[in-house]
Amino acid sequence: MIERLFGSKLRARLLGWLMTHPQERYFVRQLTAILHEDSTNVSRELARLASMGLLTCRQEGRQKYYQANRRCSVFEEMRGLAVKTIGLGDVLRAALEPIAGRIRVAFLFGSFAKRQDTADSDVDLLAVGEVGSAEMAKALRPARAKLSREINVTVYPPREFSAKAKAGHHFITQVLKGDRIYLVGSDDALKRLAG
Amino acid sequence: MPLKDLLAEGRLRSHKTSIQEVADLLRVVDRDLADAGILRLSADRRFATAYNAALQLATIALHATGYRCAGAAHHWATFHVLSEIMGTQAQARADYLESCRTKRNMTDYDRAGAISNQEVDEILAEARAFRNDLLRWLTRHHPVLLSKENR
Repeated sequence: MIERLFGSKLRARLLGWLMTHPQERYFVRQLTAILHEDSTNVSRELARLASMGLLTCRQEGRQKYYQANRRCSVFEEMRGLAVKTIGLGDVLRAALEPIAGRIRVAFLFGSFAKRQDTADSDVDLLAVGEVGSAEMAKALRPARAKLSREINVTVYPPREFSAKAKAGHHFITQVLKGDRIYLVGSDDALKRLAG
Repeated sequence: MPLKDLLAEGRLRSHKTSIQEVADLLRVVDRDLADAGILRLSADRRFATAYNAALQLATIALHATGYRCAGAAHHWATFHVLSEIMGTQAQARADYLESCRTKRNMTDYDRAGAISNQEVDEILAEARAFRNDLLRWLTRHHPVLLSKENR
């Protein structure tokens, strides 16, 4: 949604990151590494956003540092948009942090992972680990309130996930074929679990 | 949102329940708890059935307090006021059942197979514990609503 709103996927990703990390300042190469984007394009988009007043740009030595502009009149609104869409992953990662040690892998799938979310989209989250769904609900309560979105969580113990993945369980197969945004763990961890 | 605000919005209305209504709803609960234990059913169906048992238990608490839901989002409203009705110790249960509400919507309307066996075991255990807690709560706060068979 936000990508369409801002007219550029990269612009939306930059805003998403910078607006959800407003206390940090970054130079181009840092953002290039974080977002895995081309440095020339990142540099160009940052300059545009700074010229609009959404970011501050400060030259220090040979580096230009960019940061979300808290004095911008629409800062809070922009930040809210970023948290609810592009910044969603960060909010959920922070919520899962206290129980992340017992989660092998957790990721978003469905419309958010496909970048086809709308303002009404639920957040689909799958976790594999030694955690219960009541525990997940408790951990995610602040995120649910912050994001004002329904969060559909599916929790599998590792053994059940592996067995169902190997048996070709249709839901798991579909999820494994689709796009994912990792909150805990990585593709490697998921592949090991899926066998 | 407090209960009084839901009343003002028309999401809740005054309601006078009876021994018969509570007994009828408890029979729905017991049927669903038994059915959710049938291992031959899909995990999705067992989950949705156990969820309905929990929803009816929360509904009994709401009715006993003198209210019923009106209009849309009545599952949400029923769980939303649970801790205000039964005490703050019920907040974790309300949060959990609220998360189950979205899962049940997903499994009933959008997607088959997204419920794990562990999730079924968990909601069934929670619904059984809720039944025991609710009967204790009714005995303490609304004993006149309990029929002989439920005392």
